[in-house]
Amino acid sequence: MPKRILLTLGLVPTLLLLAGCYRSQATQTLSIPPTPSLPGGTPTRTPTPTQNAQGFSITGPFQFKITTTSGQQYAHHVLSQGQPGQTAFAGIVVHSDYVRNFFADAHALGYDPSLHGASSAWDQGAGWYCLTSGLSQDAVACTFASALLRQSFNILRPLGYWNREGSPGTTVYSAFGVESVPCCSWPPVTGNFTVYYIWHSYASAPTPTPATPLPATPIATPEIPPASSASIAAGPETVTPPSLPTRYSEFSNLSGLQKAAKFQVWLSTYVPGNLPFYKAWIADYADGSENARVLYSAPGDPLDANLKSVDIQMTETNQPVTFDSITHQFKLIALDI
Amino acid sequence: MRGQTGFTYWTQTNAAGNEAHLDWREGTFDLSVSLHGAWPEPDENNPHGLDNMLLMIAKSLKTPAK
Repeated sequence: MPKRILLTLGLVPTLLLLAGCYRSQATQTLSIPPTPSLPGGTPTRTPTPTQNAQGFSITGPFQFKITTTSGQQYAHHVLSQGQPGQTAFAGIVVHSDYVRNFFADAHALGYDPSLHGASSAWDQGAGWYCLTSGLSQDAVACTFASALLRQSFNILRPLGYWNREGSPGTTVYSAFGVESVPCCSWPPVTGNFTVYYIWHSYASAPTPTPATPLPATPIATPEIPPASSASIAAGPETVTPPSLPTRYSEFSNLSGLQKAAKFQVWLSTYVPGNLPFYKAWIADYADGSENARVLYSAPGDPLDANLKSVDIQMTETNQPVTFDSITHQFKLIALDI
Repeated sequence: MRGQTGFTYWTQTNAAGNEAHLDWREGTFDLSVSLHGAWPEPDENNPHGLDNMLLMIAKSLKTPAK
């Protein structure tokens, strides 16, 4: 076995700690006060953007409740907000105290632009959830939010539709729902929600949207522990926030992907479970980098969080390896430990 | 990694919720392998099952024959 693999396996103690988070029903320790009873559909706090050096910022909390009446199986609520300028929709954090929640597509409810599509119900329990666009440049969005909010998250499967571009500087829409159980009496239920949006700046200089600070529970950028590797010379972080794709293409077969890609995409000869090929995508960026993504997935509802899939991404980039790119994973918060 | 030149770094594997990731760099390429869904959870009997699965996928990546 190559030395470097052995070196990686030397991280097993950390892996074990992190592997303990694999359960999606991990015990939650909330550090944010529980949501009080609120009038339905009205955000109660002014969103506050806070941006870090990697270009991530967060707006929220938006707090609201969704209630069904007797005999009503589903109820929805649509959030509207101004998307900060020069940002992409990188992730979303949701807390609910009700077990059967789901994302709804605001577009289907008559609101545009919708930031995300619908999902099957989250039957993994009440608690905190986070998910990202699924693109590699947003991979640490939930880590950023976890550190900022000092909160561990269950990670949901990426949504089938994600409007990463959104509509910077204007109003965007996002919808949520609750499902009454059990069938088929559909007793009245209420879910209290708290939602944060994670944005990824592609501006050369961070320009978060001005907003009124939260008087009660202001969000402060946490101190993130330094990287554990002492051999890496630390310096000012010079990460250039990624830009939005200049071209985004979807492929239903691998040959189409290979023909369109600027480089030969490496393919896996081992896919656990012999999962069938699902789809592939190519995203090109203004800086010349290109991301090729191949998704293998078991048959079934693509929005089912338990559906097995393997996501392989390869990005050709001229971006140098920086202190941040080497160490960002070391900043991962060990959830639920 | 995988006997190829150009290896630059390999970040930690991490697992959270119902997904696990392995990210690394080879030459000018950033690569990532992610598992989503109900894969066997790590336990005392198989604490590295997910890590091994990620490594096996990573090691099997090949440039397709022309």
